Amino acid sequence: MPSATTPLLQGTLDLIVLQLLHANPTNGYDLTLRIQATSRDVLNVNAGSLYPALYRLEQRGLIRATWDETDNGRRAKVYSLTRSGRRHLADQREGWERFSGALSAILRVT
Amino acid sequence: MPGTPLLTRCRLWLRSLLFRRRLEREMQQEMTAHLTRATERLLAGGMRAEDAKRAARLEFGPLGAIQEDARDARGARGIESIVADLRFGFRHFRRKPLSTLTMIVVLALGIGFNTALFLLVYSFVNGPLPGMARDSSAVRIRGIDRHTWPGHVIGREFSYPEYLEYAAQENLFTAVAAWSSADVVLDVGRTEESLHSGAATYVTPNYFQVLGVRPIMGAGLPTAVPAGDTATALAAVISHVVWERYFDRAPDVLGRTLKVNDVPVTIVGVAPRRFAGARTGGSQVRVWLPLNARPVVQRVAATTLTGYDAASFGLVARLRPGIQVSETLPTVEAIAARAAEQSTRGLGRHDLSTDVVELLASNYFPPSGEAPDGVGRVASLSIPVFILLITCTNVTTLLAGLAVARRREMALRLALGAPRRRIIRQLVTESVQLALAAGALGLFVIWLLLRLFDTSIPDVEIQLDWRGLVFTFGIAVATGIVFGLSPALHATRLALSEVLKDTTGAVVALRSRLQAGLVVAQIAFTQPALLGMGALILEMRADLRRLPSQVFADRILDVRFNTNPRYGSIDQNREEGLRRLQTRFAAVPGVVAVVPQENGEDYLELAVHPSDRVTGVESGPAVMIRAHAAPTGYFPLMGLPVVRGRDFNAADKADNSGVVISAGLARRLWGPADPIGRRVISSGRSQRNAGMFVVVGVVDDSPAGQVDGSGDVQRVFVPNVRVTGHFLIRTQGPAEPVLPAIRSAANAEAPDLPLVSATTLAAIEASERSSIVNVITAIGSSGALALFLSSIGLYAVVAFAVGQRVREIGIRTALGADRRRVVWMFLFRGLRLSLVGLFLGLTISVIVVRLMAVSRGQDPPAGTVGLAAVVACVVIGVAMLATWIPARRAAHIDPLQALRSE
Repeated sequence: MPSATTPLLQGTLDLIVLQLLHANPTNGYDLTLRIQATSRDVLNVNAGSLYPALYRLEQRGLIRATWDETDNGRRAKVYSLTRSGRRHLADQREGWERFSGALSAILRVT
Repeated sequence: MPGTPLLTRCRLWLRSLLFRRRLEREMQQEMTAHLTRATERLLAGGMRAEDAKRAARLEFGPLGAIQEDARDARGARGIESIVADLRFGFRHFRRKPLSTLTMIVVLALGIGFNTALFLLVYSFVNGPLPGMARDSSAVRIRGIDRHTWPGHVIGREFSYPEYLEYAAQENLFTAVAAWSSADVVLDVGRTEESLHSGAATYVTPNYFQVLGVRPIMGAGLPTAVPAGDTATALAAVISHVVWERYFDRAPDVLGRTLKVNDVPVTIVGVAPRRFAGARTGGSQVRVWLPLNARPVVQRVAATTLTGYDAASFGLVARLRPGIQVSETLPTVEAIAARAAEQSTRGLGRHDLSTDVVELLASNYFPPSGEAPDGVGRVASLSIPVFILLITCTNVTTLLAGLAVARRREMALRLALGAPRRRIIRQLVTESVQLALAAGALGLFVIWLLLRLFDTSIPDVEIQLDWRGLVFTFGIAVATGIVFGLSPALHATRLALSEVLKDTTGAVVALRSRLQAGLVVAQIAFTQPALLGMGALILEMRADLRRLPSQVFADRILDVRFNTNPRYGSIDQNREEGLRRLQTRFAAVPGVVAVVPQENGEDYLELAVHPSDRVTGVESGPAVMIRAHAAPTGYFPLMGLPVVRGRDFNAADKADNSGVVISAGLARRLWGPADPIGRRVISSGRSQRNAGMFVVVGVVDDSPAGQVDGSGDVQRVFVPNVRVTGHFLIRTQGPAEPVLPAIRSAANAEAPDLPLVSATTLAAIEASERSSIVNVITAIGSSGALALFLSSIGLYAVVAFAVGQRVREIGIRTALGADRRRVVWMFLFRGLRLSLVGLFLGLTISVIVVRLMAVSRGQDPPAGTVGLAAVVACVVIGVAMLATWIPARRAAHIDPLQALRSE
């Protein structure tokens, strides 16, 4: 019986975070909501894996964080991609597309 | 990580290092904000406040663990643990202040000694001349002579015409300067005792510009002197030492006069400190005069400038910008070949050559063999490296002892799950801490030593080039760290269970094998090092004894005049003059006898004639022995009785084929057999000391009253003497009071001859002795340092070995063992190890002593065996002491305490 949420494939969290931040810079909380929403509730990324991932990416220089005012006047830490982050994302996406294309081709074999 | 620029990575790394607190605060804020918004969302969904808060927390996950993970991801983790490591290290060292201090001192001595020595050797080998700045466009044009002494390369000076040829190469050199040195007598004219022997350097006008040296006072020598104008030429730049010593650093020294060889010259400048001209090792008591002053001051004919044979100039030059040293070689070689043809001495084309090298302190003489300068440089630079290795081995020993002592701690941490990497990092941190502390102390040692070198070695300008200093210092500290690392690696490699069991036989055996190995190695290496230095000292002591010690040394005056045999031969007139002087001296009241002597040294390379060998006496290979001229009256004057044969007679003088030898040499060559009439062959360089000589007499070289009765003084005397203005004067009573009379006699008889020195033989002997004694003291103190360092190493190893067995000792004493027997047990074990080390060390010592002997072509000095015994005793003694002290301490601790400590 398939469960409602699917565990994340190893190494894909970085790709997800980078892609979403590329589309729209945002803070950690909104990012969790966006992952759930965009994946139509299939993927559930909790804070326990999201924040270490964000900090790791920041330490690697792929994303940067700035403190911003949100709409309701709160201070929030907003993450966006750096230049090397964009480059890294492009590489990763290409690699992923090749991989998933190959995988689905294999899965079509009957 | 690929893709991220290095700069960004460094910035981020620094950020996590420096702004740890701020990042931590921001993380807290961020996560709190996350929780707040989640709670708000749930509240909006209709939950109760309490439930919403709890649900948000549940959704978020365990806050503490997530923060830990986040910190790890940020990379702050490593820094935190480094800080912890540092703190731990400090605590650890504070607990063991004595051994920590010991290690720091040993390492600091090692680092300081090495860096200072390296800087000294480096400065000498690679540095510019004292008083000059290094400048690669300043070069030395170096004459090389393979003719005068076949099979050897010696330096050669240039003639004036050659200088002009080099100076004409304007496409290669912007300027070429020539200089020529001579011994002179300086009269600073202030007191009775105002005569001093020194040196004069006659230079072309561009000399100081080419060297890039500016007088610290005054305008310097005139830049242009019209030919033949000697009045302008009589100006001098004095060396810093002359200014200091004879003018008390007078600020108004410029314009004063000073007499050089009795010619008054005006002081126009003071040279920078240490500057002693373009050659290495010349006298610091020096004046520089224009070349035009040379005929006047040296009383030589001006014609010495025209011939190719009168070669007395050294050359320095400035390369034209863009010209490399190698580009000048074809031209200078061609000039050298032309000079060889012009010379009337019948030199072949290949006998003379010239090269050009950068002007350094160390390359005045051409390299003697085929090896280029570089090989010698590398060889001399490797000495400090070798010493550094010895020091580091010592520190390893210390650290290994420590690491072994902490093995249990390491094992415990490993067992509790610490990764091996983590523990090694801890040990490395400590090693770095030690090395840095030692480095700081080492800087002080360097400073001390450099000050010492600076005052005691005038020939080297120590280059405090900061790059060199940082480099050597860095290497020394890094080596300390690396050597600290090896015991760390070792300590963590053992299997856990074995170490934790600890008292099992296997581990004790393993542990003691490592320690035993270190003890043995320490003893085995210390011994040859000490023996080698001791042998050097013995040899110098033998030299000291070999210095002829005269019975009547205080009644013999040694008087020398400057007759400059180098610049034109001593002609009939001068020889006559010197004879008259001799007669005049003999007439001075109180004088018993006067004989002429020679300036300069002559050597015979003696071997026994094949048909005059005495069976059973191994006379060995040819020996180089200084030949003393013994004109009529010499032996009685010196108090040397002719014990066999006879003194020289007229016939010997005429054909120059006889020699008189000392009894010591006779014994060496022919044993107890009668040496009279036997022949020796000498392969000397000149007519005078090459050929076959018949022994006509033997003098007793150990007259009564001589302290050293060994009688192995080996001397050889030849019948003829070259007249060079050197006299020995025997007086009735002590010679000192007769000196003024001798001086005034010289002034009256030969006012044009400068008196260089007049002193008693006793004074000369004393000064020769004191210089040897100085060297002995220097070697002795480095030996003491080596002994000190290795005793510390030895003590450390043994002390840790004993410390390891405290528990065992506790059990033994608790069971009623006699304390004395416990101490004896350790002593016995130590003795056994020391003996093994001693045996190995002796083997190495024999090799070392043999190598030393081979490299000097001499037998090991007498007494080496005795010395080896003494060194062995000292080393064993130190080892015993190093065992006894900790063993005694261990035996006297309370058994309960000892057992509890585990």
